Amino acid sequence: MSDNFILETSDLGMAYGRFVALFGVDLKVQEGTIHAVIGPNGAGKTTLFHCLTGNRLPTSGRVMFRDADITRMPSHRRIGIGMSRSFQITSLFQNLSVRENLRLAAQGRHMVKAMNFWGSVEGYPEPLEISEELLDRLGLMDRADVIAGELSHGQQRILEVGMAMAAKPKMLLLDEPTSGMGIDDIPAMTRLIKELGHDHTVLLIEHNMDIVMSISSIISVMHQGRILVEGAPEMVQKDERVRTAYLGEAI
Amino acid sequence: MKIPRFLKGTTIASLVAVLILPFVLPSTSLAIEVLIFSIAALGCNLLLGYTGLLSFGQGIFFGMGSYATSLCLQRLDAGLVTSLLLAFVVGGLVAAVVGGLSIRRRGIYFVMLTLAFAQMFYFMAYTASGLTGGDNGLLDVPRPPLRVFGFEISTLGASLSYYVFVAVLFLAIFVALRRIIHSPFGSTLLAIRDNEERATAIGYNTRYFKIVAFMISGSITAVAGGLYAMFLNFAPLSNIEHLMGEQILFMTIIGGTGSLFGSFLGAGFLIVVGDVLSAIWPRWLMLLGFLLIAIVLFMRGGLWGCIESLMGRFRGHQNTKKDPPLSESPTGSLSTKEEAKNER
Amino acid sequence: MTLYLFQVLNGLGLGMIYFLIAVGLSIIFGLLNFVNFAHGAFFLLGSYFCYQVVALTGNFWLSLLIAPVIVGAIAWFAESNLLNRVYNLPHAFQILITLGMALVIQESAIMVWGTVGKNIAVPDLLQGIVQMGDFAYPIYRLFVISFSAVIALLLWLLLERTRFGALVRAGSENTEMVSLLGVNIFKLFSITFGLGATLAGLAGVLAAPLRGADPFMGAEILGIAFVVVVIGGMGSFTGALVGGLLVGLVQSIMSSLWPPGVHLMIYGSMALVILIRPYGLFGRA
Repeated sequence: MSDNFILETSDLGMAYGRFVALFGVDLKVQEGTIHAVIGPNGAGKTTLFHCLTGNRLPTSGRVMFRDADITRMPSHRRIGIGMSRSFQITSLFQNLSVRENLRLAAQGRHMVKAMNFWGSVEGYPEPLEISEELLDRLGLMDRADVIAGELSHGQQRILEVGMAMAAKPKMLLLDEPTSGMGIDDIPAMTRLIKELGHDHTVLLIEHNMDIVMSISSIISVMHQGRILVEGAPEMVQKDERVRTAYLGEAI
Repeated sequence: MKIPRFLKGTTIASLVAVLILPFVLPSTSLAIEVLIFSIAALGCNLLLGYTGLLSFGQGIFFGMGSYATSLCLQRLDAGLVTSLLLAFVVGGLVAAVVGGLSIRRRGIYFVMLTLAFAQMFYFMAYTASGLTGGDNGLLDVPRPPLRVFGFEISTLGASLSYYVFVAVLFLAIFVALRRIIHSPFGSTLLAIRDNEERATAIGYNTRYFKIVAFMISGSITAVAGGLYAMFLNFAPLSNIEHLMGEQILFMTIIGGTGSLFGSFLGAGFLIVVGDVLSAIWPRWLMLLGFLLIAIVLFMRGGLWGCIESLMGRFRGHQNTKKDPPLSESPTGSLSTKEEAKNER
Repeated sequence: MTLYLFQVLNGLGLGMIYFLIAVGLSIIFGLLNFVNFAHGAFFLLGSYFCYQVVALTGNFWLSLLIAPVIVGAIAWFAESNLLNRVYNLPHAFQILITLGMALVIQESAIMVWGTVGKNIAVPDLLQGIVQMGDFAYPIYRLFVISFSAVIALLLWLLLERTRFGALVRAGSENTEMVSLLGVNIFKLFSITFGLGATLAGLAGVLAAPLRGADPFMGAEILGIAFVVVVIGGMGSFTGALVGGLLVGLVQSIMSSLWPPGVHLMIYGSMALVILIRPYGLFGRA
């Protein structure tokens, strides 16, 4: 079978002292899919995410991205290979304008050009163009000159994902994009992620089951540091083990 | 013709200030001192205001610059421009080492490292008396004439001609820094100051940016140190003391970290007020202490912040700020234990 | 050989004084996550108050009792009226405001007592030397070592065996949790800050007969205190003790071998510790 895995982990393990957070996780993300990772609290989702983004070094196993071993690659270099992330807790440049946030995110792809301390920002048009394009796509054009910290929470969450898009990645890692969002803002986010799925691979950690079930192509359910079940949403929904794992927690 | 952005705004203000300064101050030498320390504060501001790095190491660069210039003049018999260029290079290299090591830690540990390095360089200078003159400093530092391609432009003997020379350098550095701040590099520094975690996540190797910022800052500060040695005809040990770094830091903060012009205001304020008050009351440093407390409590944007809010009130709107002062950076604060732990 | 014994004892005495200064700085950092650049000024005040009490009453023992308490009270006042407003600000502002405070204290000291340092006599009871064979050592220095050791023990008991100590230790782990326990966290901060300053003041009193009181001793000792805290690990009692003794011994022994290198070595090791083991010898990772 010509599986086209863009991201693969093999036997990924993570221990904090005596506490083991991940037991040999083998996660395979197929290119062009929206792949969701769900699981009850403490299942190891966040640890897994940290290992994928380079924030934590796993204690065992490997992370492969497009057939290259990136286990030890520092976070900032992952943009260059086409991997980009968003944060669960909104992490923007709070004191800079929305436009500048996106421009900086687009500029990060080319470190050498970003190190230019003698030219002007206008002299490097590509990030400017990308930021305009994204402002339009995210529906933030009319708020472009507002300081990011002054956006509404929902808009900040949208910008949070937009920042990850600006690097024009092949794959997006989204850490609970709807975290803390009001019920009114969620449809916009759902639509955005769905759209992203058309031209990116998306790996998604999410608590909101409605979103996960409606947009994911594949779902991995984690439980106690392992992948318990993996499959299409309908299949996962029916799986008895998943129900047991979530027992005591409202789905 | 379109005027480049870095020539507008506060550049005009600086030009005006430089033109009137010798006439409003009681002496030309006071005006020279103001501009020399303005240069040093500009260097500090690039780190503190634009990168979010509070460095106690600025005295190192200032002192190394003054030693480099003095030694070059005395022992190598080199010219003015060569000596200052040497200071520029030495300052940049020392800053690359000091900064490069210090930025391996964040937050308060970073500050402590710069403090430790400041003390180390002081005691090194103190110990290496064969080179630095130790406690006595380097005496009789000459101030050679300004020659460009063999043509003597000025002897710089008179105070006013030295002032003009320092003023030209100050303006050049001011304009250069404005250009740097508005460059892709400078805009990235602001991003790092605001949120380093995100800057890393969108692809920036923040370490490189911080080191380059340190190098620029060190070079500029060292030039100020060299100018100061030639101004005093003397390179005292106190130039490299950590109190020198502290003083430069105070100037930068009092002036306001939100704007380069603030550095000029801060240096001018501290030197002129210090000069006037110390003549009347030797304990004027106590007022400085109270001023520092007041700045933290009431005017975190410094003098520039005050001017800005006054102008804002005048115009009736306040949200025109492009470079917000340090105080508004939420990520600069370490309010939780978690963050404190991460910074190690 | 006796020369080395002499240096080692000197180092212990110096180290214990460093410990008394640094432990307050360290606990304050651990609990409040606050760097106090005015801590050296409390040491300075301790010495000057000691001078003043001795000058007025001629009684060193009275000053040993009174001076640290006044220093603690001043610190308490400053904390609960001034410093508590900047806990949520970036470190830069905490550094700035405490530097401002240190300047105010230093200049006030000069205003009151002048720029020239003051000498404080060793109390009558502790004058003279102890003779052990051919080895002689000043009694006062032995007193400093043993007295600070008792204080260190009491402090340890306070931190380990009392409710207050438990709160301080818990607060160093997690401030929020302690406030959830219904403890007035701000009161805890004030008490801790006052206690730290009292210890620095006490160190100032003990040091006064050895080194006198001068206006710049605060800034000088602050640097050393930072070194001790960094080497021992911020927030750690044991770290402050071991770090203090280590720095004291190194300083004392090195000053007989290569005097100019003393400070170079001390600050060099500080930089090294931050770079290699940022949480110090005893700090928590």
